[in-house]
Amino acid sequence: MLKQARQRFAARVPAIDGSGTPVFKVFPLQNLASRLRCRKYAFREFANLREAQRRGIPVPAPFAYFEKRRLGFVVANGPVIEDLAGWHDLRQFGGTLSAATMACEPLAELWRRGCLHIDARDENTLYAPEGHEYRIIDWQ
Amino acid sequence: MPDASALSGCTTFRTADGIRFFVLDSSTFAPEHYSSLSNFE
Repeated sequence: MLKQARQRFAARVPAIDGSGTPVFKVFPLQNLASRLRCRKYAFREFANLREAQRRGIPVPAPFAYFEKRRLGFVVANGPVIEDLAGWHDLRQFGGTLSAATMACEPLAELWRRGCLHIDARDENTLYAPEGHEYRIIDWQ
Repeated sequence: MPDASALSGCTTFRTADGIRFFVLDSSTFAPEHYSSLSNFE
């Protein structure tokens, strides 16, 4: 389990043939109201990831979107995305000034690509261990 | 609300436990390699 919040969780799931360990971001839909709005979060995240990737914004590669249904209703859904194991968010790069400096490039990239990310913040910008390459996450 | 065109170009796959996948590129992700996903709710 990578992350757990009230409405979702993310987990690394290893393939049985050892071919990879993508991240499944799962949105359990536990009541009728959330099931009727089943495309509000998970599907939107998948759609936004595809669009961001199409525009050349560095995002975790989307692999798939899944739905589990019961009696015709979607009871869980979510995107399957690239695993960024070993990457660090901006909070782990020293003081406020260095993190703020590093945040400039991702924010400028979003601006250049004409994209409004409604939750652009330090936690949602992951840097590779070498500290050059980055990905912007959480596209709900 | 995003429309269904987000799934354009995807291939569909249904696992034994009834989960339907819309896969962008089957060479990078193969749903059949994930045997037990039934606790995803």
